[in-house]
Amino acid sequence: MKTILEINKTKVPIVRIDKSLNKYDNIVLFPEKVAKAKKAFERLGLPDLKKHSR
Amino acid sequence: MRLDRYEIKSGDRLLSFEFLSEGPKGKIQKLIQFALVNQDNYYNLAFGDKNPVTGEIDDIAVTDNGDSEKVLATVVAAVYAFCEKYPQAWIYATGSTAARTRLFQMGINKYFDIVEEDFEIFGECENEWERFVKNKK
Repeated sequence: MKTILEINKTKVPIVRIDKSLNKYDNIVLFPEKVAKAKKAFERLGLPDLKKHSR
Repeated sequence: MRLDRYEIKSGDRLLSFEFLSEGPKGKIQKLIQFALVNQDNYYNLAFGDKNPVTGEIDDIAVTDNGDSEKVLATVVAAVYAFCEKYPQAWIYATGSTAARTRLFQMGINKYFDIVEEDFEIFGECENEWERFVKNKK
């Protein structure tokens, strides 16, 4: 079991589940940004990890 | 190293997150959303202020609550939580304005060494994806 100190150092946070937020899951809250993301995907596709290897 | 961040709440599917920004302007509710753009696990990340009266979300508002770094660290924490559940996801994020996009770039720059251990980070440059390069002018 992790100690509180260890948990506090982790990058993945503790997330409290609040079911009242489920209502947002099927609503696009930022339609302009989603449209922009869609356009970027249509133009560029996904980055090619092989081509851009580290 | 862990950055100072706010506690976050989420719905069951870890797509919508909420936290409270606290500063000189008071407590301001913020919402973060990962919206599926298409079936290639490609999501848009956006966040903004929640109007306490109307419930509307505003991603243009300049909150000026003196905690922008903590807010960004909280959004990054939400990205980590989201990616735990959706490890194959690609996340697209841009600012509402050029200035905000620049602010986000500066944020990535500042903590690049921490986040690059965990993520593949790309930027759009001259109509191409380019791997994010720290301190590139």
